Amino acid sequence: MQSFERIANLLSSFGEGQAELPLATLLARSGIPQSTGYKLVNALVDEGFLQRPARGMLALGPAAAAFFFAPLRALAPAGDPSISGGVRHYPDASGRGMPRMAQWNPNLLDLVSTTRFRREPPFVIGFANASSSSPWRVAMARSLMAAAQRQRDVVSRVMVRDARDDPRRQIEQLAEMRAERMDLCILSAAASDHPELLAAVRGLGAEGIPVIGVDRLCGEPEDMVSFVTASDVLVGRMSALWLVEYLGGRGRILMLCGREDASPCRLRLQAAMEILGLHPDIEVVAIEFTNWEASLGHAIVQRHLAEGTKFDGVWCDSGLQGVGSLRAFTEAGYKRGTIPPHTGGEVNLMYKLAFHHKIPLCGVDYPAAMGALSFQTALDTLFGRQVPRRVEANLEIVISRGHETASVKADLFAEEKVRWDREDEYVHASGWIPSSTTPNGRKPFFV
Amino acid sequence: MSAAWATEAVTRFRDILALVSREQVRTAYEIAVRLKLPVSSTYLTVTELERLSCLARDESGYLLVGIRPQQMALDALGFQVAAQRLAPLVRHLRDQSGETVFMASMAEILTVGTVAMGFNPGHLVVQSFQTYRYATAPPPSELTRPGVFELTLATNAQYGDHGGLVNLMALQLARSSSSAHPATLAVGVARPEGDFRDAAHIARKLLELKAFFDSPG
Repeated sequence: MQSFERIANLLSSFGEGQAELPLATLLARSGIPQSTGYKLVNALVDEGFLQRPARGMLALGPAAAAFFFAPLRALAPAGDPSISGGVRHYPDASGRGMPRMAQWNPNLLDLVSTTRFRREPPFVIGFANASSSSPWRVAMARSLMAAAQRQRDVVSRVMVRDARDDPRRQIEQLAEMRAERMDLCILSAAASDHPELLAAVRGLGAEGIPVIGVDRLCGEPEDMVSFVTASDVLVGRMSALWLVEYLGGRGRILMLCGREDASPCRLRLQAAMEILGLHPDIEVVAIEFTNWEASLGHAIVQRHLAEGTKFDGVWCDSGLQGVGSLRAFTEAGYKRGTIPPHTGGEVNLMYKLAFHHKIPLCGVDYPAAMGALSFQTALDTLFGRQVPRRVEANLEIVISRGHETASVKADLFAEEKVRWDREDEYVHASGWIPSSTTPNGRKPFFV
Repeated sequence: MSAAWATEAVTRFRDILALVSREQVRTAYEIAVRLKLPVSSTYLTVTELERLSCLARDESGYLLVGIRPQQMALDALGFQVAAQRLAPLVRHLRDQSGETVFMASMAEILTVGTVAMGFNPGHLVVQSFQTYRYATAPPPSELTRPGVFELTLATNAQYGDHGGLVNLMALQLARSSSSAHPATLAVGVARPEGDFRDAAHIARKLLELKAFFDSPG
């Protein structure tokens, strides 16, 4: 299997103003012996990946340039003319509405050199997980483990620790994994603003152990090599905007948030409140924290309904607690088509319930696949490849059919997104997790 | 004459990258079936290509061309730009404009690079390895000037023709260092026909994007 590493090394040796290289220099840079190197170079020339601009010189060829094409998502097969290449309407200047993102994050273009962290495999990787208290967190961890399992030739061990949302426990676990000589730590922080935890994270960095953040941040992105996430601002902003526009800018809203001490929750709520604050006829009846638990979402909504509170809409920063809210409405006797509009995606049951009960829904699928993405960033770091300071996974907006608004359009309709063949707690956008990594004896997600 | 093992490795490298560019595939098994390769060695190849960042995976687990072949392509075209800096720009412009956004290498023809699918009902889907010719035939040298420009493009038929024209509003990000093959790296918003009625808004967003790109980071 050395051939592919050699091919990649040969083709990565150009750039930075060196469009042409002598053969001997190219082989020396790539660390390839001359005898095998000549054969590989000849094959690359034959296929057009390399060309010989002058005697003894090599340059990248037209086949190398072809891979300039690189989509952000795998392309769905063409075939539906209404989707593929077809012209539908698009809003004119007056109907444009608000953009998905208000601000640019400069961290996105910031690249980090990792040559100082370069190690020889096999690697020992520590995964300090904030908790496994929700299906999303389980899916994120599973996506990371599936990626690690595929790379078991270079990863001898992955230590996984669950802090159960306790930053003090996480500090102990980081010390324990450091003592067990982890080469790199993937951290999903148990608290976003905790000085002792931040000191522990910085301590790892000071000892030369790179830290890759995933999902939940402690401190600033600069305290880590890289932070793998998705835009929480977009989640909060677009879901709030959809709800406001769907309600015609007027109504009473219940806010169901996740964990108060977790960075995604804080960012989503802040972004949502900025949108809601622009609409004086929107009344926020209550802001409640659910720890992203369906049972808490259920209990909170049940209590409000029992008190006779009326809501025109429920903003959930995730479907994890959203399914609890929907259940509370159905149990309170709300008939099909009368449950107020909700936000919150990711969880399959959210889409199933929206369909069954005809609930206007806007879900933004926060990708659990960022677990696998953080593992790939970890590998890049240990191989000494440059990595972005902030890696953002792509987000997908899912809206029940017929409920798009002026500013918020669906990437996919909920009716297309729902997986009737999958379990209720199935988490969308969780990457490639082979069935062999799915544990048996699943418990029902919502009780 | 190349040794057989070297030819086989290079061919497999090319075929797998080309396959994941064109089709939705998740597993080594699917690749083995489509390319008629042995399953066991294909599994090892895909794993190694992922490790080398020659393959990546999207949020649904589908395989994509990884960051190293993207960088290789930019190097081959003579653009001294880090590939990792391009996708965030494309995504931001997509989120700002609500349209299909793409990077393109503009020379005699226009080759589409990093693609973000638009999310609104007017989106344009760009096929893999799509190239366009200039429908209004502006000399390519005129495209190297700074500032926002508009173009009408027509699909090159050999890559599949949707039968329509594409309007592009774009901005130059970088110029190729290759004197033999001068080209411009442009980022733009593309629409399937129709005018840009909100041209001023898009122009502002393009200029803003250029400022982000030029900032030291």
